[in-house]
Amino acid sequence: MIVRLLQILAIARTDLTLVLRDRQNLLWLFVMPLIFIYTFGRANFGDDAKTTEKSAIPVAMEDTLFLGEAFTKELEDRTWVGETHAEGDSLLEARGSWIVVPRGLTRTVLSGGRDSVEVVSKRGASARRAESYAWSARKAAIRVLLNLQGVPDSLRANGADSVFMAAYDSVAALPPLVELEVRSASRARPIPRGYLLSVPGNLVMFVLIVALTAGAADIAVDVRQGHIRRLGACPLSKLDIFTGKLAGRLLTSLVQILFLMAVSTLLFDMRWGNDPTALALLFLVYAITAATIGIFIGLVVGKADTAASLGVLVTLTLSALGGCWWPLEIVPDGMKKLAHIFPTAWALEGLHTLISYGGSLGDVALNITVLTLYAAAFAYLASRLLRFDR
Amino acid sequence: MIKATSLKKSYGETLAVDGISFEIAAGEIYGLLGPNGAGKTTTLSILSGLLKPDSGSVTLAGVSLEGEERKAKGLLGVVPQEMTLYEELTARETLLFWGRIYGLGGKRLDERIDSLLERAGLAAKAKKRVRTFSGGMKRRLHLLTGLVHEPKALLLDEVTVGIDPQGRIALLEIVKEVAASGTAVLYTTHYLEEAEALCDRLSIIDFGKVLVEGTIDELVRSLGEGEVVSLTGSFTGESIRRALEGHDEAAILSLEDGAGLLSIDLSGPDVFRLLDSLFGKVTGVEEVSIRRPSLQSLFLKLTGREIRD
Repeated sequence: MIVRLLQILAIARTDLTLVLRDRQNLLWLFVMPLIFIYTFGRANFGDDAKTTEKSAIPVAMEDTLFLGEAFTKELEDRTWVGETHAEGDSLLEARGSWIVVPRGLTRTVLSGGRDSVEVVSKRGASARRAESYAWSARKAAIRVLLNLQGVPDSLRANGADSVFMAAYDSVAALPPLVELEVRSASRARPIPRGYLLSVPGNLVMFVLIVALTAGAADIAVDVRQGHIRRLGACPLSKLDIFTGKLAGRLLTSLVQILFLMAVSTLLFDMRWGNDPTALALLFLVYAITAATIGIFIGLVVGKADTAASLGVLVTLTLSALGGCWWPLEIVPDGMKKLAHIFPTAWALEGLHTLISYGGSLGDVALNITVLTLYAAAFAYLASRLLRFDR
Repeated sequence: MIKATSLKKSYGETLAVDGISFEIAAGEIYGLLGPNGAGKTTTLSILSGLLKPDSGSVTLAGVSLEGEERKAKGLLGVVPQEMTLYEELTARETLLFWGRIYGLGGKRLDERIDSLLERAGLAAKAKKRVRTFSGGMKRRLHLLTGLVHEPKALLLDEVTVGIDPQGRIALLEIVKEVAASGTAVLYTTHYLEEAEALCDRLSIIDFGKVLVEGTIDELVRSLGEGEVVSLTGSFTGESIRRALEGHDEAAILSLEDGAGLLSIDLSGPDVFRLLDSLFGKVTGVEEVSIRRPSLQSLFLKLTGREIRD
């Protein structure tokens, strides 16, 4: 038994070595995924795509008194935090959009007058981001006005002195009388954004590109150049050879996944949820699935060029329709159902459940089961096609 | 060491191997010759355990390939015609890989690899990638991949294809040494002179059957004492047959319209009368070649084809 394991390991190790010595493979294993992760992450939510830090809303502070600061403080919520800049700060230009708190806001409001907080955007700045700033500004303004209602009129008449400010702060510190809880009537969940969308999506896609596309071409070369026949003449069963080839691809995928996880954690502050076991299991069955599909395609086609072309076609189809390029939450129901024909959709759904929604093994059990069934089906078909007489 | 008994294998209507039997002793080099499509590849596939015969059996060092496949394959070394080397591995990594596939490891494998590389003149290239090797070096390394586990039986299929004469000599020397160490070697080649120089015994097969088997001397002697005369042209076979009537010094090895292979004792007393009869009575002889009896003429006689046809 140990000898068999060592034989299988010898095949796997050699295949991994060959993959890592091919410069083109290195590009697709490590370089391209990072470029895609960064580009998709930025495109999806620009600078605000970091996953763990709240994003800053730049505020040009022209008001020198109390209420401007109070407003900025109220900008903070689950996603955002206000970031005060002096008027004319050059950093504001760099951000593209910012909120302007006008000079004299405190005096005007406390004296019962009207004033405006504005969102300013440079030409070409993200309209989506400006809209988010405007939405946050409206909420903050409402909170400030509500807090002001809690301060006795007698104190308000004195203006922004220390007594007034202490009274305002004590009102602001009170728990809200009414809390608004928003829940979806359907099973829909908030859509992951930024790197939370980009990292899992590209991981799923690039594992597929290497394990499926390169894997299909490599096995076709192995057959055509007689490597499989040669192994067939050795003291190995067909299952040993298949397992060795599968293990080689699995090792490759695991190296790729671990690398991308580490770099995403360091560069993009990516966090991986609360259940590392479930995450590892999900990645493992997905990598096996991708490898078995690759071996199957390579054995069916039999020619490296054709296998690579078909592999690219299958990879792009599975990635696009499976939700790697855009979140499945935004596609029509029919497309969602169609997506779940593909293993990519099951893998991504599982990853989002674990990473973005704090799910655990029980929450992704179905995803793992479906992926295991995919892997078993393609492993069976591929092993049937593995022949020594050609 | 290698024993094939009544092997049969057909693909649909086509009988690729039709009752082939032979036995190769330890230390013996046995040639398996035949034109393309004769059944050599199918026979080798059966002996390698890649194909199941429809009937018949193979034993390797007394171990049945059918009953104890894994054990039997462990005793067998196979070096196929197609180069099964990974270009991006070094020579040492290549042999480590094949050694591990045969269940070897550790110091014993390292020492074995050192000794093989040394013997093949590749020690200095041990850490170089295969893609940097010349054709001859690749062929030598390829041969070593079948020897790394010290097999009891060795199947070599056209292992000298595409290498220069010097490289061929070096490679054949290794094969001789392997046989001398007690390994039974089955050798197929398209180079008859190579088979003559290397093989202790051989068989010529065609249409899936063994046509003749024996030592080189035995087989060449079967052609007769005379020179081998080959005739081609537009003559009829019958006209040749009639011209040779009454000439005991001539024997027909093979004959058909337009092509004849004769054994003629050209030193005999009646040779001029014979030649006069042959070329005087037969019209349409366009080309005549005379050669000493050899494996090539035997091959031509038996198969009606050159080995590379």
